[in-house]
Amino acid sequence: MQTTRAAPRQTGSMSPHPFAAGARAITPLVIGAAPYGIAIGAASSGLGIDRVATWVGSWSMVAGTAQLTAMQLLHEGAAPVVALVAALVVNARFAVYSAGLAQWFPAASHRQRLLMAFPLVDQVFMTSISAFQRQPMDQRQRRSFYFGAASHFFVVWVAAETIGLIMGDRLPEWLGLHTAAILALVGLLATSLTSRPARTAALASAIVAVSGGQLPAHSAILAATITGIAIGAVRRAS
Amino acid sequence: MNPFTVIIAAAAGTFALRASMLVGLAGRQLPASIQTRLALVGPAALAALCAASLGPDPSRGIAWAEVLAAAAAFIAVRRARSISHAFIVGLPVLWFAHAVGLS
Repeated sequence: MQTTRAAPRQTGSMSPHPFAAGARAITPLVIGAAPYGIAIGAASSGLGIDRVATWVGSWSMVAGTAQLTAMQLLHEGAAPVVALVAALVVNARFAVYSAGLAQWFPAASHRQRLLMAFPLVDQVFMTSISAFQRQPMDQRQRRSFYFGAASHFFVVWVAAETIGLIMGDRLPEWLGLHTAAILALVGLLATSLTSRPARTAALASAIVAVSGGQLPAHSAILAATITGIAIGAVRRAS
Repeated sequence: MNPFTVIIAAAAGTFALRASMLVGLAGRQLPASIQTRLALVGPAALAALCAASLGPDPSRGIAWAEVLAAAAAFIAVRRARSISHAFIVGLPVLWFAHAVGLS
């Protein structure tokens, strides 16, 4: 088993309880995701789609935007296969996350890899990779940290969507529940811009995401991410 | 295909996407150039998600209150180096912007 991994900016030392450390580290993002989960549940409820299907989606997909996209399309009368493809396009970035996570677990078994894949969402990926880059951990500690973060996120996310489904349209809009998740991602972005290539990648990605807003089924997010990575890599090489 | 089937199929497909590289790259060492690029996944994906959420919407244009709140949150987190400042600063700015009539 690999004990340490060369990574940029390894500072500090790992807590003796990496599971708890992971659960703690993701807390600010969980605070942002919980209102978003409530909002997704409430919005799905308002669309008149089967509530059981929505609730099953909360824990089987663990992907609010894709879930809402599929629900919205079904509500608008789109063919089910169109809703399905749209949800998968929105979630295509998870394949990129999957590659990013794989490099930190070179000795993991197939079973462990499949278990890690299930809760691989934006917040869990970003929190874990950020910690792996900052703190020296062996592979077992990294796995424990990852599952600590994932467990915390998963439980709160499902609870939040359930609350949203129950409350429906009784939630006041002025609370800005949708915006809380965006603020959490903005906060995470602000802490991730630690190098010039990272800043270049983020800027290029943002420009493509905005200019490609008319692309179908949120596919601009995937296109922007890939473009940002490519341009950031060129910046690093120059 | 009813909504329930769509959700189950989307969940299965999403899981396949999440597992694809984790399982596909098992036991393989990626070239250094690829590892370098993967280090940029976080900033690029986050920026794409934020920009797509805050960018112009065909139905309502730009949500200036959200843009203002996000800008304030970004600056606050950069200065304080704590993600919780995104809410401490961002949400009050959002509420204030709505209160003064920004959409």
